[in-house]
Amino acid sequence: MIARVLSAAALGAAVTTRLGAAAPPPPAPITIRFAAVVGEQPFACGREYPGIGTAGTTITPLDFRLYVSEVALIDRKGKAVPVRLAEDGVWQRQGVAMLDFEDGTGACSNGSAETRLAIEGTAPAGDYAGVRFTLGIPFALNHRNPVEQGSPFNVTSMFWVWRAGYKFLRLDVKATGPVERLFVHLGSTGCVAADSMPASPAVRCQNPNRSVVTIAGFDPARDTVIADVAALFQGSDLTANQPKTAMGCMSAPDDADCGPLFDRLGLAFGERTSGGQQFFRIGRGGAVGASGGGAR
Amino acid sequence: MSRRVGLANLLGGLVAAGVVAALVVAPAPGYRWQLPRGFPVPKVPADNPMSVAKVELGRHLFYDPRLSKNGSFSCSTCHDQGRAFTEAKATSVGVTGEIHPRNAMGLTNIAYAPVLTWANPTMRALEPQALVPMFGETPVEMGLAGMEAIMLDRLRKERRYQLLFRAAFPGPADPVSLANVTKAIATFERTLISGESPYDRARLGDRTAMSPAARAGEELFFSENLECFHCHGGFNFTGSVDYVGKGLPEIEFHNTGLYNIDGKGGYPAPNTGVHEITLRGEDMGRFKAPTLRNVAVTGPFMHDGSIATLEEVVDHYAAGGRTIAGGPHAGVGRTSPLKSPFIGGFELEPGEKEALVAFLESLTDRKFLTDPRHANPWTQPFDSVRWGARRVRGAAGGR
Ligand code: HEC
Ligand code: HEC
Repeated sequence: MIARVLSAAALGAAVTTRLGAAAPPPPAPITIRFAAVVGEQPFACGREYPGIGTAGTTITPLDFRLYVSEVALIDRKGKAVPVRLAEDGVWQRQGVAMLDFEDGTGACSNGSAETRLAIEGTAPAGDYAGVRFTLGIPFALNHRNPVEQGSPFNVTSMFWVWRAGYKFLRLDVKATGPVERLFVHLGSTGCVAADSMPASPAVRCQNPNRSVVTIAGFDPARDTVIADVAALFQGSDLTANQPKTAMGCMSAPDDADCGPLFDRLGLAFGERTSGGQQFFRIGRGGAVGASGGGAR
Repeated sequence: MSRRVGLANLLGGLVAAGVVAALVVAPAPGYRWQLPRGFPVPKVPADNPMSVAKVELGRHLFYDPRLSKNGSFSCSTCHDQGRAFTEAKATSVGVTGEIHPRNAMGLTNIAYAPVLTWANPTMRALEPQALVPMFGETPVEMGLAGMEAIMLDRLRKERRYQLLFRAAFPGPADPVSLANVTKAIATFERTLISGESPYDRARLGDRTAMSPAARAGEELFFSENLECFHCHGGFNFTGSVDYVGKGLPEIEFHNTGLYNIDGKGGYPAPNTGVHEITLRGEDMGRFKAPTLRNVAVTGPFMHDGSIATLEEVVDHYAAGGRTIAGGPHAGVGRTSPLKSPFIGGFELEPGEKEALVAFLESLTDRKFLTDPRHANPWTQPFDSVRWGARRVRGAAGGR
């Protein structure tokens, strides 16, 4: 599993004392830990989770991966300080990180044994009290031929070629209701080719569907970003699916099943603006972070 | 196999960040197209030049069920040579039994297509398009999502591939990569060129090639009364075409009034045409006009296979749009506000419908449908020495 990187705050403190306040603080390694949960339970392939959504459905995970980018820490003055993501050739590239909560066991059989529960990078040493990131891949990187890209842009499960991009979030579950499988595939829709550029599918998209997530009070040395499956589904009835649309929500604007999910992802859906994202929240101290970071 | 190893293998075609491989007007040096007389040279992406070895590799991959989740499906399952690389089903069924909302398209002269599939303006090249059936999940076709490492491992074990990948992609890097799989398949697809139908022979002076009825049908097809040629014009009988020297490629999508479920020109979801991709209201029901070469063997017709015969296709156009009397898709296509102005309807004299159909049948190129160069290589002998095997005792003869 991931080796805990040096506590950024400790390292930052040491560096600041040596250089004094005038010079910009040099970058120090930083780890932003993530953990997936389903309500109060840690997320795990092969487990059943009862009581999900408005109809109290029991779900079993099939897949859970996502891309984040534009990662920044928020300092005490409220200023966003970009985190420079490490390039590890597998999980992180060009400022984009893939997080992978499934471990290929149980019903997650199309997944991979490796998990990824952290973002690694560097940021100027400092006293941080918040984190901000975008759930999604920036436009400039989202519409390239995926097989010509390095990892994590070449993970076929995250390809979304017919929509000319990637799935930013993939959360697939089995359910015990009349709807047996539900897919949450988030990505840009309404993408059109620039007609003057026949050579490449250079596109602009009506619905970028990138959610900017800010978590206040987040101390990277101590806290964990929690992605909560139960919170995401909280407003959804998992026993129903709009006819003639994808099972669950594949970001189609005419699929009303996306409405409550987008709301909780912090995204507008049609005319409806979001009441604020509720998918990610802060995990204080080591408690949940330890189960997410070390259990598997 | 672990993700780390799998991913490393996929890095075969790694290119500089942010650069989209550009299509360039580049006839590949050293490759000889075998084109029908009068056919232009197809455009080929600069980073995937044609080669004989790549065509042979691509043909093997196109016919290889190892490219599916459970080894039961290849591209040819839905794209059958005898039917001009389409299939008899109204809409396709994928490896998991999931039903595709659309009809499998023929691949006749696909090298000249500047835009691919029924109604996706962002789908511009064969290389990335091949990823859709392999890895797509809306719907699942070959079901390979997440299985790329397993699939590439299967290919590495095949002796023919050990020779063909090396011959097609010489160099020190491991040639068995996903990028190279798509490049080879695209290269094979570009050779699926058809231009030796009775119509073509007649054009080159053989007065007996077409029946009198077919000739009469040709006149109707190109008449301002029927307007067919406006959307199915040019040497490839489609308005969406590109080739070396063309200047600007032409990309067209049309609403032919096939549906009008709400009086506002609506098509039944999810087959709303270009609208499904762009979400723009004006794109409702707009589809690519397929080439009409070999059309007589590609039925059932239209994007959803909802018309069984060519006679009924003509009826649809004659009526200026289809009327569906009852059921969930009921509506009068003729009155669709989104319908193309070229779908005005027309009246035919006795015998003219038959003539028009006879003309469409004269576009069938029998040689193309049976050409062994396009056929399943796995049932053909394999010349391993030609593809680089050392000439030692016992080495020849393939797998
Ligand atoms: C399950 C059946 C199925 C399989 C397997 C399949 N296809 Fe298709 N193919 C289709 C359907 C259906 C369409 C129309 C898709 C659409 O419009 O969304 C299509 C469209 C295409 C097109 C676009 C043609 C045009 O005129 O624009 C190409 C090219 C193509 N397929 C190539 C392939 C290749 C290469 C493979 C193997 C890697 C493959 N297909 C496997 C069913 C299939
Ligand atoms: C306004 C442009 C337009 C005109 C005019 C037009 N077509 Fe089409 N044609 C299309 C489009 C677009 C499609 C695919 C429509 C769909 O699937 O919804 C098509 C489909 C077809 C098909 C089915 C092809 C297949 O593989 O499924 C045939 C056959 C055909 N047209 C013949 C004709 C004939 C004959 C005429 C003249 C009477 C004609 N078309 C006039 C645009 C046009």
